[in-house]
Amino acid sequence: MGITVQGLYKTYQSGGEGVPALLDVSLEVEDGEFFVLLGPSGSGKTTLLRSVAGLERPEGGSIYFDSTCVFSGDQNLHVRSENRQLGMVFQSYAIWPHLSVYQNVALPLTHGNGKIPRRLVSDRVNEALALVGLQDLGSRSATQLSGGQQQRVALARAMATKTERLLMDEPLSNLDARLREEVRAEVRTLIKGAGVTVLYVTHDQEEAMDLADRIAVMHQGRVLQVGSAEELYQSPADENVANFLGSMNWLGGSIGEDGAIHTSFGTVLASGASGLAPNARVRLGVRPEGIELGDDAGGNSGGGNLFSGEVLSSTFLGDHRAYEIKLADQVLNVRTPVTQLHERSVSIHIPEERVNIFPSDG
Amino acid sequence: MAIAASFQARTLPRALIGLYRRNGGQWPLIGISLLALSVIVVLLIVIVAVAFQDEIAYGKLGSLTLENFRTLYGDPLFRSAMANTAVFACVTVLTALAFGMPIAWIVERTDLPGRSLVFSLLAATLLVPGFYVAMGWQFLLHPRIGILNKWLVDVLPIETAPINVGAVPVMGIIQGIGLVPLAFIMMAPAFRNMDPALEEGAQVHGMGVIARIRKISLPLLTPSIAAASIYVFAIGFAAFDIPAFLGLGNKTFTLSTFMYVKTQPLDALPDYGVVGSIAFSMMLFALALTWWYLRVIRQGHKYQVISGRNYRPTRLQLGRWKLAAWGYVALLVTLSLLLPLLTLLWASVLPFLMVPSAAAFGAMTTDNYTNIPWKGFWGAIKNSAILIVATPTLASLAGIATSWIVTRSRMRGAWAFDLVSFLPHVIPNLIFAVGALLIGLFVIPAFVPFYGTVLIVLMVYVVTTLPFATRMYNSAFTQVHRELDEAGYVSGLGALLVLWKILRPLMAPTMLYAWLWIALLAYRELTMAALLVSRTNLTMPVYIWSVWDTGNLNQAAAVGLLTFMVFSPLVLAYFIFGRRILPWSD
Ligand SMILES: Nc1ncnc2c1ncn2[C@@H]1O[C@H](COP(=O)(O)OP(=O)(O)OP(=O)(O)O)[C@@H](O)[C@H]1O
Ligand SMILES: [Mg+2]
Repeated sequence: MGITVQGLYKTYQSGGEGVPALLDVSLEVEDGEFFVLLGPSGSGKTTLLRSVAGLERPEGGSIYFDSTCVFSGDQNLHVRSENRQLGMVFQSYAIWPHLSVYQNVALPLTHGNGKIPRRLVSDRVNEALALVGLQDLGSRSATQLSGGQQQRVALARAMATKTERLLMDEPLSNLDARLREEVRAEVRTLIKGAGVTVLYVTHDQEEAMDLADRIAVMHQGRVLQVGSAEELYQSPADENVANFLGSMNWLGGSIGEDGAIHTSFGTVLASGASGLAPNARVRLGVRPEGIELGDDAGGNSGGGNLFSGEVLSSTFLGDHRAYEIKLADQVLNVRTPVTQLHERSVSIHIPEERVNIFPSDG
Repeated sequence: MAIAASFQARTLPRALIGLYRRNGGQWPLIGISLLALSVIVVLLIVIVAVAFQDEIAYGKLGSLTLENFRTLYGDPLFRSAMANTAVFACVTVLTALAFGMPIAWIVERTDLPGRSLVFSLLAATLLVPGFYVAMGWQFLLHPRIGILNKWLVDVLPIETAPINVGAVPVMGIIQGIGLVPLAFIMMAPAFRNMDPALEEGAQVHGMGVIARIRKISLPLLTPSIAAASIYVFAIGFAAFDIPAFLGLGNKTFTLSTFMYVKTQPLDALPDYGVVGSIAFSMMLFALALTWWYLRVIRQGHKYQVISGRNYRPTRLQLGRWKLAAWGYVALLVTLSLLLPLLTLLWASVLPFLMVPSAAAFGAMTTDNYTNIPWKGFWGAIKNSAILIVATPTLASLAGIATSWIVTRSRMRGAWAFDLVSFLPHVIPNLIFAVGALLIGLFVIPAFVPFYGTVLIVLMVYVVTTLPFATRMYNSAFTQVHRELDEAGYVSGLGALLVLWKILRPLMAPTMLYAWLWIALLAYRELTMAALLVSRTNLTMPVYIWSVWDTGNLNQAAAVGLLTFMVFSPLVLAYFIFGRRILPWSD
């Protein structure tokens, strides 16, 4: 039930010139995994998903469903979409407007890859509709549904065939914010319960983190990093990943002979610094909530990575407070649940394991 | 033995199913489209081949030569035909615009009550075959017997008939009146999209009405006017019905009728090399016109940036001018429909043509109807009925397949399908008929039942109506969100199933509309049939014409009206189901 993508290349022809959409993309989606493709607009997520669906034909690389090859550029093999045994939820939902809700779900069962004996169809359709809570709307014309209901029909249609692989392209993006959270919770319980392998596209990082077993972050046609939400968030492989999953403080520095990092505000110890060559310029990334603040107890005393800074601004944001803190010539954004600090001058603790080190280009 | 046979019987279908599975049913679609498009290409190639060869005989190639062109362009009759055609087409354009432009303006920019009725009236004009109108005008303006001419001689201090229906400019006017709906369709968007603020701006700055029209409105409309003119000209220069019905009698030829008589000379064998060179010349000229048309259209787009923003459609209040506006529309309807058709009716119940009078009413008779040679009549009705059903069916099939390839398949050469399927819209139908004629005579062996059958007519009808089908289906396909098909594919439906289960129901209105429209085209088509029919594959329009040609004008009127009645359900269906009244949008 897994999906393996190897070295995929895809270029679109647009107005005589090639637009590269996938550049050497490789992925391994495991059996029963909820795998999310995350990335900014134009990063190639849809292209990758459609290539897996067989709706696009890449120029090179290969795609396997388990050990079955469904696409291979070398062997000039391309299994057509209708023969790939997939379920898919489209961004536009693609509800067939001339059919009723029931008929929408039934068509793949009567004529498509989920073909089952006619007498079983109605039970299966009703089961799928009940799953998404639409059992009473079967006879309704599909165009008379709200956005959320259409989304559910699309989901029911994709799941009714009981295919083992489910593809979803931004299925929630057409819903308004509140409905999106509601349906998201539904998707999570419904699909995770069904034990299917899911490849899910979104550009919403919160959605990705909520749903995914693992996430692949894409950027300009490449996969930058694959990992669990926590891995990506806490240890991003590069600055693009770091920036895409929430905000980050960027501090400049260089590696000293001792393996510590010298910055304009003092020496920073970091767990990942040991492998780097001395004198290399680096950039440090620290998440705003990874920094601890305290009323200034007299500057650097005891423990590592303790600095003192000056509060530039403080904003109350309900469940947390955001500070801008001046640290020598650099400004840190800090987010903490603590109550108001009284001093202008504060002590700053940056835990070693929260410091991400990236080589600096400049 | 038996086992082997049953084994094969079972594997063959399975192999076919396997083949279908692997390519998802694309091949039937590509095959159908390729078949139709290759007919187009072959017809054109044959014309070129014949035009540039000396002796043509069945299955034999002559040597390359320009002799045919030399003969043709040295022929004084051909040169006069060219001159006639130029005058004819120019008058056609002027007439079509003289009515089409003001009426488009009235419909789009004024508050004329009952504007939508204008659409229906124009559609009715389109639906009546041109040769009916030609017959009507012959009865009205024939120099000797024309009712109107006689009446004018009576009331005016003149001795001879003032108007000769066979004169080139008069034919041009009658043709132009028939093309008013087209001019209307092409001008209406220009008026619709013209921002009144542009004119108001000029008004505020002190420009008078004349200056505003000259300096603002006309320049803005110029691209549309030019485009409409070229388009109407392209149809006019190849028009056949009206020059054939009105001009052949007194040997006034246009290019199309000249070519026609060259295929049926009375004294000698036809010189097909010369026929081919006329067809080739007309083809080149049509392509040149198209190229010019496309250039003008492209320039027109420059102005679109200016218009359309923040624009609020204000309509001029006509007030008392309402009557004048409706009067103008009524004049058009009278000239294009009422007068000629009523005259036709009048003529059909008289033994010979008379000016309405007590005596004339006394002489009324049904003889023209009862004496119709019924055998020929029903034979022609049968052939026409076959064509009216088969043409739209096959053209729709080929159109759907082609449009699917162009808009959906993402095949590498899809643009070529688009281009070739569009050629019959650009190149006059007549040319394709000549191509088919040549193929029937020189390529397809005589023992194949093709030349002289309905089949040859059907083939040409299908390819020449194909562009109408592909244009309607192209836009129908683009209006269906692509993900609707893709959802079908992912669900396991192949191309044919997706087409049948998803696209067919969604495009049903277009299908019905395209079918009806093409059926009407097949019903009214005279030009191509005239070149291709013999006694065995007579169609209704040609039958009417043959009766007309033998001089039995009043009976031809009767046959015409009877035909109209027989096929009126089709016209009715078009009005009921053809929601979008007029078929062209650009
Ligand atoms: N049909 C097409 N023709 C030409 N270029 C295309 C086509 N489809 C996508 N592209 C280009 O390929 C690149 C990747 O597009 P893709 O749709 O895969 O991005 P995406 O990550 O899904 O973006 P989004 O979040 O906006 O949906 C983009 O640069 C896009 O402009
Ligand atoms: Mg996308």
